[in-house]
Amino acid sequence: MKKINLIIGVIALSFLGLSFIKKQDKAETGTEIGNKAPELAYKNPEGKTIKLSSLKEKIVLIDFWASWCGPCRRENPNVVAAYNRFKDSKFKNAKGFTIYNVSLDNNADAWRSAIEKDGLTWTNHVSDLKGWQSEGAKIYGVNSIPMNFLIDGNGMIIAKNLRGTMLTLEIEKLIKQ
Amino acid sequence: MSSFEIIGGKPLKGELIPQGAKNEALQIICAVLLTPEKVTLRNIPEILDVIKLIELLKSMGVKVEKTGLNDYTFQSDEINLNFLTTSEFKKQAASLRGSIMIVGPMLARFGVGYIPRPGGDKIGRRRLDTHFIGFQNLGAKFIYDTNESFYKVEGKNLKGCYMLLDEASVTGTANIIMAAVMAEGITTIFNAACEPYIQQLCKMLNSMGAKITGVGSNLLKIEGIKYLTGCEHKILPDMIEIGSFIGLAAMTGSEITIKDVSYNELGIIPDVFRRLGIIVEKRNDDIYIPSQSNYEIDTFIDGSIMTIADAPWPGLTPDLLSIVLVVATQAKGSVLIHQKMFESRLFFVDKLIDMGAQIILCDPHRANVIGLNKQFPLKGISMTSPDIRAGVSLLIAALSAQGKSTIHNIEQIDRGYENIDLRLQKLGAEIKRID
Repeated sequence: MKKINLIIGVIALSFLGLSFIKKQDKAETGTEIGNKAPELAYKNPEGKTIKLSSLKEKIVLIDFWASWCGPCRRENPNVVAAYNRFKDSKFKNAKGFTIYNVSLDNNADAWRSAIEKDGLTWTNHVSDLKGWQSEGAKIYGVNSIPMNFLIDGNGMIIAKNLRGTMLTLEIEKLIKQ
Repeated sequence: MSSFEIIGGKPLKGELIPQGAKNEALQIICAVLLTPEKVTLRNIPEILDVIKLIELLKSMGVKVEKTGLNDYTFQSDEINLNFLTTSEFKKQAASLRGSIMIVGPMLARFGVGYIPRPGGDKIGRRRLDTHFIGFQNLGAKFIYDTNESFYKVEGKNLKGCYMLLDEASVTGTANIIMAAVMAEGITTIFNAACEPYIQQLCKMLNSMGAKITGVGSNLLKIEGIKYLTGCEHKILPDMIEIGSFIGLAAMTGSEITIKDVSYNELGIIPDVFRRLGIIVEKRNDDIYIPSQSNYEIDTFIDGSIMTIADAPWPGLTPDLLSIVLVVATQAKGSVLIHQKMFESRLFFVDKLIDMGAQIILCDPHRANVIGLNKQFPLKGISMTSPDIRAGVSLLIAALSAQGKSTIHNIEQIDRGYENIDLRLQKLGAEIKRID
C-alpha cells in the first residue's frame, strides 16, 4: 500500500513539475514585461546574420538606436558602463551580460563609425539598414528611440525602457548573491 | 473660400500613401515642450491644424527646423512665458482645438498653463472638464476668467495620485499624461483612452525617459521623474485616411493599394469595411482593394439588419462613421448607422439624399441607409462641406457620382487631408481646386 501511495505521489509530483515547465514554454511571445521576446535575426556590419536567440543563457539588453539619433548617442556611455561592469557577472539564471544593438540606420558607414566612436565593443550589432522601416523595430512596436528591452537567460522580457542609472540598478537586482 | 470641382463616375487605379496621423501629431508636437533638448519628429502631416500648432509653438519660443519632407526638429530651451498672456497668443490658440494640449506639458515643466476657449469642428459640444479635473487632481489650481474666456492652471508642485476619468477622452488623457510625467510620485489613470495615438504618445514619452506602464490598456501608471530628454519619433500612418481610402476604392469600383498602413495598429477598421462586403486584402503591410462591381452588407447571425456604431477604442472610431455611411449608400442591403459619441455629425446626409441616396435620418444619432447596389449612381450636385469627416465623405460621394459636383468650403477638408486633390489626380480622378 505504501509503495502504491509513493508511486502515486511521484506521478502527481511529476505532473505538477511538467505543468510548470509547460507554463514556461507557453509564455506568450510579445513585447510586454513577462512575455517571451520575439526573435530577431539581422546582419552585422560584416554581413553575418546574428540571431537574438544565439545569446540565450545571457542577460541581454536589446537596444534600439541609430547613429543619427542624438539622444541615443548620449545614452550610450551608460550602456557601455553597464557592459563593462556586468559582462562577466554571474546571474540567477544566466551567465554574463551582453547587448544586442538593433540600429535604425540607412547608411552602413555612419553606423560602423558610430559603433567605433561610442566604443560599443561588443559584437552583437545588427541592422537591415532600412531606417525607420526597420523590420526589427516593427516587430517590437518601436516608433520612438532610444528604446530598450532587458531579457533574462530564458529570453523573457523583465524590464523595458531603462534609462541612465536605471539600467545598472535593474541588472544589479539579477546578480546571484 | 475655395472649392473642388469633381467629375465623378470613373474608376481610379493606383497606389496611395497615407499621411502621418493628425491626431497623433497634435499630441506629440505638444510633448516637445516637456524637454529643453532637441526632439525629432518624422512623418508629420502638413495640414492646416498641424501647421497652426507648429506656428503657435514657434511664437512661444520653440526653435523649429524642417529637416526633411515631413520631418522636423523642435527645441524648447527658451520658452517665452510672457507670450502666453498676450492677445496674439489668444488669437492663435483659439483658432485651434489641438492647442488645449499645450496646457499639460506647460504645467508639468513651468508650473503654469493658459488657454483661451479652443475652437475646432462644429460637431457637438466638447467639454474640457476631463482635462481640468485631471490637472486639479494633480494639485493644480484652476482659474477661469469669464471676461476673457481664458482658462488658467497653476501648480508648481504637482503630486501623483489615483484618478478615474469621467470619460475616456483622448485629448484629456494625453493632456493628463503629459502633466503627470514629471509630477512627484505615482499617478494612476483609470478609464484612460487607449487608442494607438495615445500609445504612441506614451512610447515617445518613455523614449524621453518617462516611466509609463500599462500602455495600450485603460489603466496607466506613471511614475514621475525629474527630467525628460530628447528623442527621435515616427508618427503612425493616419487610420482615418486609410479607412477613407478603403471607402473611396469600394464606392468608385477602383483597384487601389494603400501602402505601409501599419496594419496591426488598425484595430477593427478593416473588419468594419469587410462587413459592408468590401474585399480588404492584407499584403505584407499594405492594404489591397480589388475593383469590385458591387458589395453586399452582412446581416447579423440571426438575420437581422446590420448596425454599425462608433465606440471608444478598440471600437470603431467616430471619425470613420460618416465614411461607412457614404459607402453603404451604394452597397447591396441595409445598415443602421448609429453615431453614439457625437450628436450633429449626421446632418450631412441631406446632401447625400439630394444626390439620390436612400437614407432615413431617424434622429441626430441614427441614420438608416438602404443601399442602391450600384443600380443607380448618385448624381453630382453643388454642396458645402460642414466638417472634416463629412467633407471627405461628400468628396467620396462626388467621385462616385454621375456628372459634375462642386464642394464648397473645402478648407474643412484641407484641415485633415494633405494635398488630397493632387494625390487623387495621380489615380486618375478628375478633381480641380478653384480658388
